[in-house]
Amino acid sequence: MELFHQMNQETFIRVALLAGLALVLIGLSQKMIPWIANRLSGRHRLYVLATVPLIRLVIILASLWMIISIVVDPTAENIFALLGALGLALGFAFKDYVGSLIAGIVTLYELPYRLGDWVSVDGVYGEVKSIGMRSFEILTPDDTVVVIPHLKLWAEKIFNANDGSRYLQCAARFYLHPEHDPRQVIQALEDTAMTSAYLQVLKPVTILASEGPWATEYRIKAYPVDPRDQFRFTTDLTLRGKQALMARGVRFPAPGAPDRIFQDPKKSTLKS
Amino acid sequence: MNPKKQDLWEYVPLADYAAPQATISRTIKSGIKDIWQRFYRQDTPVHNPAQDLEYLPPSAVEKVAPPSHWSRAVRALEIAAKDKTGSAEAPSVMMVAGLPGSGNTQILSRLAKSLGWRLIQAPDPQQILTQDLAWLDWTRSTDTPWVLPDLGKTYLRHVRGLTLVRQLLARINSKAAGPGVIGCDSWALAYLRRVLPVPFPGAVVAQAFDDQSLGRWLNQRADDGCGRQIHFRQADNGETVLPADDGAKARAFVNQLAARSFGIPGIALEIWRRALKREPDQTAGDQASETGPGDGITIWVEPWEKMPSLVVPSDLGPASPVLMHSLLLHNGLPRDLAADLLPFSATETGRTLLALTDAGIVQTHQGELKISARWYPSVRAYLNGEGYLTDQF
Repeated sequence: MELFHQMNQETFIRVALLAGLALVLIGLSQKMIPWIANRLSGRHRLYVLATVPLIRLVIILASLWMIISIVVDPTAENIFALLGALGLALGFAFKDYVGSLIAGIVTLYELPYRLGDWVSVDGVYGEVKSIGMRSFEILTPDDTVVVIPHLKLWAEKIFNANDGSRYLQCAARFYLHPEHDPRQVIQALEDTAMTSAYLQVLKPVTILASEGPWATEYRIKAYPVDPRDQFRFTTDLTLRGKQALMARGVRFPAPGAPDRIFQDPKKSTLKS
Repeated sequence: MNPKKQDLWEYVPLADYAAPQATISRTIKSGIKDIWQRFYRQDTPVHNPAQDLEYLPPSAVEKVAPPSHWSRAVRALEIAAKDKTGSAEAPSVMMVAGLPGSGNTQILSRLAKSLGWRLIQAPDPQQILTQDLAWLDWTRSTDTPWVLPDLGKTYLRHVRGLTLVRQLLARINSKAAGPGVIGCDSWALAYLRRVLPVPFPGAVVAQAFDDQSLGRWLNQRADDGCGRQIHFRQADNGETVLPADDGAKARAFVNQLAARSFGIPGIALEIWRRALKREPDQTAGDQASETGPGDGITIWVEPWEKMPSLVVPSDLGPASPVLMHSLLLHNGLPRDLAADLLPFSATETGRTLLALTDAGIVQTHQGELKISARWYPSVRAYLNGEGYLTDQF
């Protein structure tokens, strides 16, 4: 029994047409679905965006199956033989590439990142803008697109700040002179958060404090309504919080001290 | 709501509030229409009035569908207020929540006048921001009950803007302020309940108008404004839109209007006014008040399907949802104050306000920027979809 059908010009044209059609459909789905999603609001946007890789996988599998049916007599023996040979060849030649492709498939059910998520990989932080077969793209706050292969999934830690939801926690830090009234500070910082126009009031606001060598660090932990506003939100908290603290007469550490706040006191060579 | 009840206005506990619902088929149609408009939005809503009908001029609209003076609502609230504040066992302060367009502030102001109670003016923004506790001096005199029309005007979403309302609620909770009635916009109430962990006085709210109540109320408006019988008929099939018989089943238009406006009379009236038409040579409404009662006149009503479905555009800029939300939380803001409260540069605030004003979403009313009544249902749906805090109604 022969593995391949008889190959002629018509076969090549059909394969090429199928491959072309698959590429066009993938391209269309990658353009159209985000276009539709951006016209929807809130959670609906995220749901629609999440279908992009799934639809692409369906198109790839369907077109692959159709191409194999054209080229190969699709019996179980033939399919196994073909996959074995392909696996051997690709395993040597395109190990990383194939690893990325497989990791791309794994992401579809493990969902370590979805479109619209805010992730940090290898020290790069940004919003996932597209998920391709081999890699995904994140847009950093500095408007730089970073392409990251799915292969990172196997070995790297991936930090996902909102994990498919619209809730992303932000923290604004304040370094205060150790001599202050903590109740006043907490009230001022809580009012700062509660009155921020970006605040998601349905989520809790937490004020945390810890003592450093040269200052008391306070953190407002709160959620913006829209994760895309996280930097504006943190800026708003920082600026208004500082104003509120100054209005209450709270002092800040002396100039120069903040640089050394988190140095290990044992290693510190600061003069007293 | 009981279809045969005589009083349109009924004040109920918040938990008993029931917004009217549209029929399922209309909800599906409306959803499809909204999605279509989202993708193929035009700068101005598509509107093709029937060739032989024209919209009523403003002067005629004022007569056929005049704004309400809320007299019946005041009467209903008088009874509720006396019951709640007069009894020894009952709480001494009653809160009346009001939805945008429900006329709550005007109703409470008129309530104070009709009962002879003290009408407490809201502090000006400067008093709020300077945390001027002298404004609370009125709480020291407990001889006469008082009415504060809008608690929402005693706070600002500013780091120094919560002190006054915090102190006021503390005095009310300690019974130091004596008996009174306190109004509060529903959005401000939702926000204040989240940010101030203190008890709030027991609240009532005017029950939403269902389609039958709304039909009766619109008929009353026409009677009050025109002084003669008006037949409202649908422009495409001639069907009567507001039956004269109070017990008759509401027509599809009024059913949709009630659902779209959440049963809020002020919102429904604004949408209603934009659906009214007349024949070109007709002077309906124009001379209605001058002529005596007769057989009545006919006003044509645009079919609901042809009414523009208002969808908040997605290209108004990133500041627009924050700005719209702030206007609703404060029940309107003066332009300068809006610029001070929002975390944007003056340029960005100005640009966004211009875009919202051009779209008709924001309008100036008595010196304050407000979400227009016609756009309120769409803006509420939009903000809800975007994850912003909305009122509980």
